[in-house]
Amino acid sequence: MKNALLRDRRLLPYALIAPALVILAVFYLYPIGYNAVLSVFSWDLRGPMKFVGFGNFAELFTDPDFGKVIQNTLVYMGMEVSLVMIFGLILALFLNRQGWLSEFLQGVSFAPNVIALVSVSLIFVWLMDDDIGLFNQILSAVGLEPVGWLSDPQVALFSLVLVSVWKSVGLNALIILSALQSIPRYLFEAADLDNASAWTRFRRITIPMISPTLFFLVLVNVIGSFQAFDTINVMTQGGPQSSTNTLIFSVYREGFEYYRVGYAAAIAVVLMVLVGLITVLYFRAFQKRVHYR
Amino acid sequence: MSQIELRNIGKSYGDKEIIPSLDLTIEAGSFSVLVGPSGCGKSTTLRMIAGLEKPTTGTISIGGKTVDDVTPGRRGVAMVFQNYAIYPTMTVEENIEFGLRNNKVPKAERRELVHEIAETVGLTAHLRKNPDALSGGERQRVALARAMVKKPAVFLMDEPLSNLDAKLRQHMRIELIELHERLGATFVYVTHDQVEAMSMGTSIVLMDGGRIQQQAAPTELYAKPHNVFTSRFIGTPPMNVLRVGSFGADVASDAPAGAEWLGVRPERITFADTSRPAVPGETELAVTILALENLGAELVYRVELPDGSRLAIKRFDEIARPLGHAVVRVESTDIHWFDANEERIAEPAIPGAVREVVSA
Amino acid sequence: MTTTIAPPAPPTASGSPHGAAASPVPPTTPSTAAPKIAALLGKVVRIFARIIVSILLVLVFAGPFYWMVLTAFQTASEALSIPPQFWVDAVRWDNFIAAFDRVNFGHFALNSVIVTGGTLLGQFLIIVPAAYAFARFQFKGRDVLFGVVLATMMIPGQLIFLPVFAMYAKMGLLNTHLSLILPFIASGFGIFLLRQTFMRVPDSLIEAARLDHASEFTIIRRIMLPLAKPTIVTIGLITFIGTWNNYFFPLVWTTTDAARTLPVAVPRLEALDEIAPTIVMAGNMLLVVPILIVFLLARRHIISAFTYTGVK
Repeated sequence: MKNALLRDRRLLPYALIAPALVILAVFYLYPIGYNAVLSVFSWDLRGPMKFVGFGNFAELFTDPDFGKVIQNTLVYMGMEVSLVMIFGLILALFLNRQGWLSEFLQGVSFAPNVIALVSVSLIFVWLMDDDIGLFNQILSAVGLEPVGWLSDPQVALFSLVLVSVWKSVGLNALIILSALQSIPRYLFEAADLDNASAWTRFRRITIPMISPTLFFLVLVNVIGSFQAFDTINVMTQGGPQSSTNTLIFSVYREGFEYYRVGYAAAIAVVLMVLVGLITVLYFRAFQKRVHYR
Repeated sequence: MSQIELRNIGKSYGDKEIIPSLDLTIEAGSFSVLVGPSGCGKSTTLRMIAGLEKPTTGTISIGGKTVDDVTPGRRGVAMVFQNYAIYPTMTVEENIEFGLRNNKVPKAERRELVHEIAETVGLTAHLRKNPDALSGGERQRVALARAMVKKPAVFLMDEPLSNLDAKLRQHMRIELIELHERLGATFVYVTHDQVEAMSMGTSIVLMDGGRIQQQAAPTELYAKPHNVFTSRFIGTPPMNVLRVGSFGADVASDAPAGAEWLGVRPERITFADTSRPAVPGETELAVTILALENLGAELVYRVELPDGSRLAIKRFDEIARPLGHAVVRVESTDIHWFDANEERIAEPAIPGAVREVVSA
Repeated sequence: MTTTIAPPAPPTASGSPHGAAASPVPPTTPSTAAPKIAALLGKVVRIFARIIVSILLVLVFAGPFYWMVLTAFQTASEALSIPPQFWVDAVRWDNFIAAFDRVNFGHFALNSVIVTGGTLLGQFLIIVPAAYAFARFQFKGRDVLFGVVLATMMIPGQLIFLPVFAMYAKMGLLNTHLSLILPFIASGFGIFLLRQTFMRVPDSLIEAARLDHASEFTIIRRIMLPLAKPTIVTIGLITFIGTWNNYFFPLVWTTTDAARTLPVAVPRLEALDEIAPTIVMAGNMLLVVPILIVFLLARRHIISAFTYTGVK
């Protein structure tokens, strides 16, 4: 009896975590391997799979359009992450005070974050319409040239960035804000007694104290930017002239529109390597310079 | 040398009045300790001197100059915070250097000053370290060094020892006294600990309810408490304060006019020496010993008087007495008198006589 | 060290903080009337700037929502008018009726409810025991296995939709609600968050319960869960909003409408190719309004749930 109980207790934790681990293994770990396998086959989802070795990758890297896709992905990442961080920080500093107004504005700027990106995309397609959209109507009302928000290959990618920033800047600002508010007040008092100017306080105390949060947010936004899909699919379909075609959208299009599953899997492998590489490099470059408490 | 003057200082947060109206002069070069129970306004007062809080009314001057519109960094004061407020993102050296850098002290001079101070407080080996690698005592030293390096005329300290363990605290008390001697600057020190106050201060400012109860040197504060609050704040156990009649009708009849309360310190009560009769000026009381705390060097008795009121008695170097009946003596010169408002009555010398109180 | 004490630290240009020659505190601006007026003026300007920025923020963040609602109630000609019309003369429901005519929203909304509810329920059942085990048991391989859980948090889910699709196709799970629920009920993030909470429960409490002969199940139900309620609500809110809004997975893991949810259905109205998207905006409101109501009701809680995850 006692022995059985003891054995029970030793197995119990495994029984408790088993369901979770099985699901994680089936839906996260196994697919990574399976994806790698798919990438060396040619397959149209219906017919038999045909082994092609590194053929998919060879095709990928000789495709002139693929360089453009990688470029789009990286440019999107760079713009999105820097704009979200800069505006997020400015917004957080502006909201960093007590009172109903600040609280109200926090709610307002956070609201886009709870709305489906699909809905947001639909609204901005309408706002960014070339002829009758509100944006261009406002521009022409103040005497400016209308902009081809989603029709100009030079602008479309930036427009998508704008939508994404609009949606997530509030969340980022509020996370930075709670970091700001967790800086102990006495540090600023000590700085006051040390005759520090406002700029010195900001540079030597505020920024270093919130640097772990900033570090974390940049990483989250970088990884998030690689997954931007809803805006592209609803607003531009990768166009005009493939100017908004990114890696994730290519995977979707090759796999589900052209039924080139092996080829799509190869792109996914590239994307995965890219995300991994950037994450590792980022940690290498900055972790030492970030202050952790 | 910088004398600090607070004139008619009031401080409220919204409707909540912390300090009604405060007048305080802190002598240049003194080691002044603001002491009192929590919420008495001592920290607020210190923070107003530092410029971290703005008084609602009144004016503050340091070294003869009004500082009401002067930012904290330009008041010529340095402060040691209770939790040290060490900048966690800077090394020890950068922490100490920060104020000098902001005051545009040239680099070479800065370096020299920092190293000099580090040598003084024993931090030289730690200069390159991050603060989180330091022990509590070392952090305390960083906080001190950071204040000292600016060579301020006024040091403000807000319970700087409360985060240290008992042994280190005792050690730091002595170091601070020495530091004060050496620097000759004005020290303003906030604490809730009467022992800290008595042992370090040259002048003690005892506060309660946003008001100064008494400002005096430690010996005077002990010998001539202005009121019941003051008398009971200093000393462990605190002064016994009883109704005037508690010591019997004879003592009551000798009380100065208006006296409602009498007070006597536990250490001023002796057990009657039966081989020697009571002399004039001594009052004998029959008591019952209820409890005894043996603290090694001292014995603290809790005793009951015939009228049911309780007394504490502190004795040194004596053999513990058994619980039960005993007779104690109090010298009339050791009795403090307070009026109905609990204010001290300047006592006339009592023409003493031997008194006997019939035991219950 | 030198014991010369300077007068109050001189922050003047001369700068040296020691030496008797240093000047005392420089006199600050004398309190005459002129600087006071200037200071007052500066304050007024600052307040004014604050109000302007605040209004701008409201326009930027709430403006697009207003525009959606406005368009949803406008006729095509109102929506197309130049200059734009910022109000409607009469509230018309025509666009909503039209939207329902084109797309069977009832069906998709039901799917949304099933998928969201199923994910919430499944997540609760899977996460709680796992987090409890990781927080409260010593067992061989615990740290490695928890490392695996954390690692899955780093894998962007969208990168592996393709192999999962192939897997579903083989297993015949395509176009089932289950296929949209299963991958998300073992959230590594949820396990991580809940484990943190469970670890903060004092050991003595668990030990006291064990001394009272409480079973593990009783301990979870009577002690751990009540204490972890705020964390569970946090995870629940994030899961609810994330699942309700999800567009990508219901799109790529389905081939028919059988299990598709609202976010997949609403953009279909775009295919109507209206000149002005009045019907699209009406349909869009179906997706936006429920979640906006939830947000208005539980604003504080939702914000703290999302920002808490960011601060760790």
